[in-house]
Amino acid sequence: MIEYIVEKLLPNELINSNQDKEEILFKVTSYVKNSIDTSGFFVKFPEKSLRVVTYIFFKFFMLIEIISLKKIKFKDCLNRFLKMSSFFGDGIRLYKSLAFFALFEDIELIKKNISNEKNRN
Amino acid sequence: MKKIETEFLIIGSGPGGAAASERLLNSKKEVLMIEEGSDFSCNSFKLNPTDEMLNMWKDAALSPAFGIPSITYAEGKCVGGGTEINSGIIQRVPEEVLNSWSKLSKIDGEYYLKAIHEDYDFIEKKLNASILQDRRNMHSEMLKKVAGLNSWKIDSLPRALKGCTCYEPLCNCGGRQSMTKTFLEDAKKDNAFKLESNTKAIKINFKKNKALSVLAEKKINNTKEKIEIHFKHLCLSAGTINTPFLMMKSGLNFKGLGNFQLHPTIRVLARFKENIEAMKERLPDVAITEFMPHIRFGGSVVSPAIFGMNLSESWEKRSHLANKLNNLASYYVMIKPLSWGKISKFAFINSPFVSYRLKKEDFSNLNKGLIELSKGLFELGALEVHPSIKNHEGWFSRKDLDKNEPVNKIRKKFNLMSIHLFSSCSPLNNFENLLDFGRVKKVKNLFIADGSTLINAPGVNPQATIMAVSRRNAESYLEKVNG
Repeated sequence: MIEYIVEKLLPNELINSNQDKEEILFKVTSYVKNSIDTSGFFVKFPEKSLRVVTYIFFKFFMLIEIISLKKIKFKDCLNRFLKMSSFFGDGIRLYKSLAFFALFEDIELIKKNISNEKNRN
Repeated sequence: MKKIETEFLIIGSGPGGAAASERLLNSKKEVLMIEEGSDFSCNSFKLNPTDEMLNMWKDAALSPAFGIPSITYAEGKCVGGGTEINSGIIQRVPEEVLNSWSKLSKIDGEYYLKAIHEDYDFIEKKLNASILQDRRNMHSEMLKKVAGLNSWKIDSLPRALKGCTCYEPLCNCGGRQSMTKTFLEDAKKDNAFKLESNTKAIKINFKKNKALSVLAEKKINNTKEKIEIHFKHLCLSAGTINTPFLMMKSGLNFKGLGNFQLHPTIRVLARFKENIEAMKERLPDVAITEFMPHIRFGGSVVSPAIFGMNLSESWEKRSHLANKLNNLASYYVMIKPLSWGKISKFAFINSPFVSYRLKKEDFSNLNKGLIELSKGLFELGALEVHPSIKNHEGWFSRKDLDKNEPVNKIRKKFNLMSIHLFSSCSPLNNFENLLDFGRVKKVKNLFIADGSTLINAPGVNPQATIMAVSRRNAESYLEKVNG
């Protein structure tokens, strides 16, 4: 579930243009998972239910995007989801900041991805 | 169950425990120190940032102090504690604050007027605290220029470094004079000293008004072994959160225990035309003290991973910065708060519940700090400034600062953090239950030696003060024991 959530939260321009996408996603997801497993009760416990709810919502948003022929975008649904409650807002921010921390650790990779993306555009 | 006996048991190996151990060993006492985290001092390699977060920081540095907004705090969890992962800043508490501590503390106020400086002298010498000006550092220069342009007061930040050749913000070459490089390295040479890493104190057992033993758990690979440690004297150095929490878990609780303070801190990211390369330079060696004692600015630790975290706060608005990392500098605004937080113990839950609600004045000070620092950065030529505020658009000129939303509207969106926690066993809150110098009234053979005994927020980096006070507490306890 975490892998799916992380993939949806990471910006396309940072991961899609890279050939090692799967390897990067694995590294980032492992870090997010390990961090949460190492954290204290008051982070670990609520995160369990957040993970399930977020996963279900994300699948639902994807479905809406497909049914509406991309007229309703996943990103717009996500923004509404974040505003629903601070529980979702803070939770998603936690996933994002951990994922970015792990992703940016390899700064050369980020530079390469951004320049690939620029060339593509 | 394995049983161990010792004369002095110290729980925790951070700056408090290490400084106390030096005093005890100096008096020819037998000392056993237990530490929940692992010992990385023998590693010849440096952990990468993600492994460091998972292995050397408590709870992977994801501990929240719940409130509106919540404040993320971080503590060390390894032999040497926070000194192994922080920037090694060694600062004395300003005289103004020491004078107020002296007045506030009815039981050991005299110490803060004079004797604390003797302990500071010793610590600064031991840790080789010095200002290093061996090469030009743009990150530091920028901060000095901001101060110069506004005629603001600045303060030098001595660091515990010796022979550092890497010039990285946190020093990766082994030059940082952490506890494992100083007090604990010396202690390990003493036959009267023993260190058990990966050993977590679970509970203190009391009988009448005496601590008898500590039940601990030692991690060996994937198994856990229970140990019962008997001692004559107990020194609690588990840190601001865990010292009162262990006391609560063990049934030693009293009114005011666990009320604590921290330094709420907010980060600011600024982009300049110049190549600053903050990731390849030492941390700025000055802080702006113009607005002290309530507000302080300084340069933040930067690394690609930390920049990543900053960008994640608002990727849509900051993505253009991702390939301009060399032009980015990072600063902090830190306040000495008026508010106090609370550490609580809930039944059947083995983690402390930490809450912290900032007062109106604290938010005003944070906001004032952000605006003043940002004004200064624009005067210096910053092209854009991004405060750590959720979904913030960023400021692109000085005029944008005037359009900033009022603080009462945006305060919930502040992304706050802290690595300075203290005063959870301050005599200020627990006057009736605490004796002088970290001793607890109800338990004859126990004293506290860590940041939890600071009177209140010092307003500056607390590492040197924690060591000074812990040293003093151990010295004073020995005097009492020796009659």
